[in-house]
Amino acid sequence: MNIYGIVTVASLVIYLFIGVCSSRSVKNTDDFYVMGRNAPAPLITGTLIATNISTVAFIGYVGSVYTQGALPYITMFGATLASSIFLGLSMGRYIRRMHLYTVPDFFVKRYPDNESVKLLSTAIVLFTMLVLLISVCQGVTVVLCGTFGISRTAALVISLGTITVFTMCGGMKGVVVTDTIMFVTFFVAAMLVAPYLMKALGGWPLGISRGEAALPYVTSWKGSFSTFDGIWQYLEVNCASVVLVLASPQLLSRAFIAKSEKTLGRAMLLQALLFPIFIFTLLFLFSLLPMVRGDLEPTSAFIWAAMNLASPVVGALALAGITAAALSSASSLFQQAAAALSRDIYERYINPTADEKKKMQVSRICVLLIAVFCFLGSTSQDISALGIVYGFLFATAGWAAWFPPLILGIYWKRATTKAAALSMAFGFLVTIGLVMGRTHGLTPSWLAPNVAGLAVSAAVCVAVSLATSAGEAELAVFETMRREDLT
Amino acid sequence: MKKDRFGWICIACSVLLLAVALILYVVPLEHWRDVLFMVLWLFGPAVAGAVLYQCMENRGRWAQDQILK
Repeated sequence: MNIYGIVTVASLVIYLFIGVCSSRSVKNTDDFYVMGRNAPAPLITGTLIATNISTVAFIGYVGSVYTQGALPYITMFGATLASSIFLGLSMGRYIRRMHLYTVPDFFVKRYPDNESVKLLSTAIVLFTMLVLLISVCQGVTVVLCGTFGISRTAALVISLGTITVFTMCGGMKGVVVTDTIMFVTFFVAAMLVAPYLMKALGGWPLGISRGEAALPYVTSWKGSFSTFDGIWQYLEVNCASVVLVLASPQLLSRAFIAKSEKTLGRAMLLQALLFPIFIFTLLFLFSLLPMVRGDLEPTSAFIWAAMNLASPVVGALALAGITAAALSSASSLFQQAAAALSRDIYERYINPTADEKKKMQVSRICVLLIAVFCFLGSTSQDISALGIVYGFLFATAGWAAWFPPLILGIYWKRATTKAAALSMAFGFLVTIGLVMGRTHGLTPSWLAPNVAGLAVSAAVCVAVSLATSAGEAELAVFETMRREDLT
Repeated sequence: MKKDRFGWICIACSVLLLAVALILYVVPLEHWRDVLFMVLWLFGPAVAGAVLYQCMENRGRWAQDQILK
């Protein structure tokens, strides 16, 4: 085994060890689902960035900026950070006060006694998480197979096996702690590769000014897109980012685990400080890579740079970093998909009176079930790098359907249960229709499912809320969210 | 009570980061306008967030552990 393999295997062993060690403090479902609501700011920051950065960034976005320029892709992370600050300093406090375990819990509590809301939120969470999980697992196999030359099955067994063990043992704590270590790994890796890339470009500032002359689209807001496509690209990716941060189960659930409202605010600030360093360094510099070598397969641009431009040790760290990025997102999705199965289906519909021990058992079995599903879903089909990005965009489109009832449920007293149910249903239907249409070339490629789903859902939610009136139970929950004296 | 300086530290760090990013990525460019906008869009939220955080800190806007039973 070469140095690349040794460092990656060593990092996998470390993740496993730490994940299993963290399971010692998991005593009940509170620990398993939400880390006992006791997470400090650095861990929340680590897991947020690790969950956000996956193979989509290292393969999808690096490949895209290599051919299309960086700015149309970098823009989405500005929206990510602005939304994170909003979540940390405003929205997160109301979410925390609701004592949630999963995102569908919010809808069940805010819009009480309504079967449609329960069913729709559960359907959306399961459907989107499973689609995204399969696309992220495909990304993991692309990385492991492409880097180490192992078979797809072996790559899946290694990656799913590692994630399953520490998620089953440590629950949310296992995921959060390993995510943070993975974040440090890929952050350091990207920072170490950057100087080598800069050197290959001709050093600073010469490399950047030469890049501007040789590749004019690199410094243009629209990259190599036409103006019309560029505008839609900005709309779609910024919309996806806002929805991802404020409405995706894997990121929003990090607000549930914070030690206090202030801790959540601090975590988001730390994220806003660290994330741009990583993103700008990674994406802007890789958009100049065609000056060094212009005939690469775009999806392998990062791997090529790590193995050919950096020293072997830094290259090995970089490959361990890309594996870490892939695993960290998969583990967070795993944890949330399993929580959706156990909490939103088993505890809500099958056995609402289950005791603590039974719930823990079922939660762990659900992790195993998700692992089997992902294995079968990922081995049975081949997927391109574009498919990985499309899986991500589809999932964000699904969350766009529940975004308006979520935000309006927090900030607007008049948001009603009927409006929430109808907006979710219409938003999700429009989303599914447009995703299918886009996949089969029936709708224009610029018509972004997440933007359309969000617009329809918001319009329905506002219109129906204005036409109906909120009941006492809904108003009571709304008022309770605003009380600062709850202990 | 111990004074919380987290907000001030973040304001200082975020401004420093913004300045470094401008020097590294904008200064060497001839056509710098789009990149400048993107640097501000990416590094700006940290500055704005840190200022907001410090304002909330000064006004005592953080509630203690508040959980809806």
